[in-house]
Amino acid sequence: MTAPVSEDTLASGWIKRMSEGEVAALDALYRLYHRPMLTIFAGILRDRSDAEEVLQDTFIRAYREASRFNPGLGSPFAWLVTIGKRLSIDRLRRRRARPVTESREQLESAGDEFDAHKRVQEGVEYHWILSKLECLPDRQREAIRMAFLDGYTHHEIAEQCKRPLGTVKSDLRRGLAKLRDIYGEDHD
Amino acid sequence: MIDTHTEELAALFVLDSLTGDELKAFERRLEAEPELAELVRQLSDGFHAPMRSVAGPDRMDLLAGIHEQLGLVEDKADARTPVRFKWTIGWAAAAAVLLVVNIQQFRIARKGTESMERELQAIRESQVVLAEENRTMRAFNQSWETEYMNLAERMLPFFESRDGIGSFTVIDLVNVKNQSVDSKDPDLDDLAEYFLSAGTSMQSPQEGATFASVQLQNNLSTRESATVGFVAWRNDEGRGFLDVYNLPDSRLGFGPFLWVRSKEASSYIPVGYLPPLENGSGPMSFTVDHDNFVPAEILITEESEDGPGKNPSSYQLMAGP
Repeated sequence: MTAPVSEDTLASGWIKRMSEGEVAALDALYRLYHRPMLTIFAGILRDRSDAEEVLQDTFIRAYREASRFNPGLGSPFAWLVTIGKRLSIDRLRRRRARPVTESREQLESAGDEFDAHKRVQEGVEYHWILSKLECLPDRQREAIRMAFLDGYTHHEIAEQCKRPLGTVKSDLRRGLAKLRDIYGEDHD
Repeated sequence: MIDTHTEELAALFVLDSLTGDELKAFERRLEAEPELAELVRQLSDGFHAPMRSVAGPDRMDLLAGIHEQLGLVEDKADARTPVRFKWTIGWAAAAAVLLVVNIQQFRIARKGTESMERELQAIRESQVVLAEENRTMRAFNQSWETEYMNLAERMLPFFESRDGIGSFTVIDLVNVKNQSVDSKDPDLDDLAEYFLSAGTSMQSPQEGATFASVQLQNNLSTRESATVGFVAWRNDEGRGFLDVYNLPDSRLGFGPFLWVRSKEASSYIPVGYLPPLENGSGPMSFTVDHDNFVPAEILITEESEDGPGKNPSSYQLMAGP
């Protein structure tokens, strides 16, 4: 009887094969992780079509930069999510910085688009990710939410929450340590 | 021994919040300090592990776009180009050798693909429990999402949610006459909490409430006939939202009246008559003219249309918690 191979070990092997140009490895990795990744990116972007584009861009970048993956610094899933999170945050920042130049008609039609259903639907993934952080005290959860889902730097979080920078760093540290204690044993 | 400052840097690294020189310096340390690299790996795994189980939609169709953008799509037109030159024995022999080599390579490539498929299959089999959980969650997601949207449609006019501020209280309401029957509808206040929370602080009597698909399904059918409801109170805005289902018709000359009471107070505060309801169901928004008021108890009674008494009448319709 062979020893069970962990998901991380297999996925790491696929990333290595991807770095050697094996398309089948890309397909296998995509098949395994695309569903939770799509949910996470939709949670960050609150827009499913944007999330689909980010998902594709993430795997394209992962395929091209597969040789840079270091399994010693985290799981393949974490590596892929980090790539996609950066792409998502870039989009979010561009969206935030976009000047409002629409005409009145365009604004009115955009208003239709932001009806209650759409707003709520776009928030469903966001809420699901938040539910994974519910085990944390309020302040730690808020700091991690702002850093991960809203793309704020720790300096920006301190500014927005009117808390000392040291407190924000401490909240992030304690929050991640608690998540490690709760979930860290689940994999591998 | 890793100090607190280094742990903070590790957390920021995992959350991708380190930039510039700070990031470069930390990456250099990671290469040189195995203990620190291990800490980063643990924090990263702990943070990402719970999100792996989230079951999003199956979008294998998007893979073709990835192949296309990476230039991995075969040019089928070229492959179908007919061969028009005359074969000689020498060319035929060379072609035969090439064919054998190609078949062999094809077999090797196919073997690689098959091997990965087998590995993937092994993962699938080893994750039967997880897959089952995902299926349940997916079914639950769909029901929950529909419910969530329905509720949000009613609540949106009253609350601007997801503003990242504030705390709130959610109280379940049950039919007073049927209190012995377990007609509580916990998924309603769960939904309300989710709608309002969006990462904000929460002060709810339903602390620790969890979702359960079976429970939700049961309660969906219960709500079609049972008298149930809930109140969501935004502590920061001092505003409340009442949602009721199947409230019985009042006697002629009477109407349903809302009362609230805080934890500190001994008597109920009159709020007002409920607006016209459709088949006994509908929402309303309300405020209470008291500073720092947070409701702890809710009561709906039948009161004379000429005006309620000083205290709630004995014709109680719904109460909570």
